[in-house]
Amino acid sequence: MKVIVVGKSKYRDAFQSALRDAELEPVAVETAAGLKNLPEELPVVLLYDANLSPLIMEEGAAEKAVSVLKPQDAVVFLMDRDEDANPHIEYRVLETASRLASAKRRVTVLLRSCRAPDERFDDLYRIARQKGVTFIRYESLDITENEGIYTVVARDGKLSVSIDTPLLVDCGEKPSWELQEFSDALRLRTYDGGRISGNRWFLNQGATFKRNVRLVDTAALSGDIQRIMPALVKDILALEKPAQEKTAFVDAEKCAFCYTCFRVCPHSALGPDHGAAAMKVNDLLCEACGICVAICPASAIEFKAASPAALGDKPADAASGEPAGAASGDKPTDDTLGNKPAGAAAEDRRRTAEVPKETAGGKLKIFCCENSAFIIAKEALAGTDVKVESVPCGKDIEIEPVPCGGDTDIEPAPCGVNIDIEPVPCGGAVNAAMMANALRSHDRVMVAVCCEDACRHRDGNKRCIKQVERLKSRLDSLGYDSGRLSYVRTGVTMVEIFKEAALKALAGGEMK
Amino acid sequence: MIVASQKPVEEIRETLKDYKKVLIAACGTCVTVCLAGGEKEAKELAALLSLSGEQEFKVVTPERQCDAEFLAEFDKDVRQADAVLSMACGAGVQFMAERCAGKPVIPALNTSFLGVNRDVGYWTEMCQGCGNCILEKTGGVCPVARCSKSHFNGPCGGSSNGKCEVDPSIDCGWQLIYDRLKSLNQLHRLYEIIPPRDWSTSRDGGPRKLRRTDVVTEEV
Repeated sequence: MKVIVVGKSKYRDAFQSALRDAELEPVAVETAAGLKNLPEELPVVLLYDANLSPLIMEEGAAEKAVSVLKPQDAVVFLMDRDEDANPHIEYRVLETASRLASAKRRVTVLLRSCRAPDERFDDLYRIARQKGVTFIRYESLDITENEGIYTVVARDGKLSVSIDTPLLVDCGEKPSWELQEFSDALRLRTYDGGRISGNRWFLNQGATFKRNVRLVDTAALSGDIQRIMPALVKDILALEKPAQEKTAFVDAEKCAFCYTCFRVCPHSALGPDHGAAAMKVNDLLCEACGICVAICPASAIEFKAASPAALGDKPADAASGEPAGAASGDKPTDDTLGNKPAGAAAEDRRRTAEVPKETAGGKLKIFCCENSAFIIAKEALAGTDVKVESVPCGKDIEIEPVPCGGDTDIEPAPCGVNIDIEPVPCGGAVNAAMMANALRSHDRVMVAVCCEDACRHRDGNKRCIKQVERLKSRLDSLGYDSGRLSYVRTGVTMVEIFKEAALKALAGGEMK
Repeated sequence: MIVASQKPVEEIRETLKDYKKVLIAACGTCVTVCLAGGEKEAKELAALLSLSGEQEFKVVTPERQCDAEFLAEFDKDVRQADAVLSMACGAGVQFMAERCAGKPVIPALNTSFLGVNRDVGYWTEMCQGCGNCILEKTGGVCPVARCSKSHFNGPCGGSSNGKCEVDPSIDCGWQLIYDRLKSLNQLHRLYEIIPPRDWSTSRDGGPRKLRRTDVVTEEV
């Protein structure tokens, strides 16, 4: 299996050798232009020697820098300024800060969050505290400079602290134009300023939004390539099959070739098929998030089962081309979803779409993101009568009515209240039509999406919330009670928040 | 392409209040691409208007409402409706209305301009269809559409730091023309006076017609 090794890293040869040992075929590409004309789904290892401050990277550099300072001068290490620091940066900062504090220097570490709660971090943190390093957690910063003295004002939302220092060490990565060029050539979705991982290091180190591209930050390895090879090889071999048992599918007959899906897909899984004058999904890159399904202005994209050949060893019925638990709600009643339809059915489907008939529903309907809310729904809604509307491909859930109460301190869920749950692959898979249709059959509708920065599909949670807000405003314009529609940001450990939001939604209120 | 935006939903509801069965006709071309009147928007509107429970809606999506053959596919649906809500541009709405004798055809969109898609959800005006293009003289930037006053021989006094006095978010069209000609090394073109123009090719000549006689064998 070919693996593209991109970048001019000093570790490139060693990586290629390690990939060969794993019986893969590395192909080196040095420039962004060299990536042109390569199949888009080929595995790519993006080697990147992060450009970090030498004061934390080079031995003795920090000591040399402070040697010219006055004894009372403060040294400030600034972490997480643009994005959360990679754990290896946190280790280096803590080690350096401890050494300077041992030498009787006033050392302060400013950080926004610590997401490396492993033993090594705990040990380094404890030692640093013992040596006298001050840690300040901030939410916002103001930095001004006057004649070589930096004044840093750190705020945590309640208090603020001001520190003057002649040595302010920004421990963030300096932007790399080369990395930006590679990202552009690979069509990698990045955050503002070209950051690839954003605040997601804690979720999956080295993951990018494109399934076949792994970012290897060589600064984090300290030369120990073998440490990451097993996981890297496993990820590469997984690329032989689609990520999910269902993928998005563009009906070329309906596609308006508008490029909206191409522009919004967080995984860059759609590309133009000029022969068909339509967009086409690359099954191997599609993560089945449903964002394109929800946003397609021509309603031309739906889910289908991934192709049998690609799935290989899956059972026949899972790869039959039947619809695979599509994010429903606005699907046509003739229900001819799935692989490319033919003949009269296709023609009819292209032209007309029945508005779903109003059906009797429960008190509350919740669209739950499978990556967060759906996982905790059972626990959170204990006591209510929960019905799962459609179980997505490959997922299983058992929610049974259990006695009221539960083991939380907040208000118990009311017994026997009907709550319908529709799992969705991402908040971004929920569009306004789905919510408006749900409002026709249910008293209340809530959408539960992942927390800020935690969406594995980059911005599906934000897209969903924007849809909710727009629909609420339109409901207001029509004189309806927009409080019937609400949303909550949640996560797999936020059972009580989900429960509280659901109970508030039932009562006609909203989470603030 | 033609760029449009949806009318406020309460305005649409008001115009439809007298009709029980409404056919919502989306349009599959320009207004689909500009996220105003495609099938997805039509379904969303139908779901929203159905909340009252007093009206019935059906959504159809002709490929284009500006070609009779595509409209003909839906004659039966039109007959069964009390009114048609057309989600096409103004041309499509009128063409639909011509076809639907005795049936009210109501616009769902405000047709805005001929423009381009600069990003997801962002379009800007580029052409006013004046019928006499001079883009070769102005570096490919249209003074009619992109200068707020449609000046032909340089900016007015309201151009400041490259922005237009009408709205500081609007780039001065003549600044754009200057910058573009400079980049092409064609600033000498600015010395060429563009004479007062005959606007009869534009709206001043009344509703316009176009015929390609070479493809017509029988006069209509």
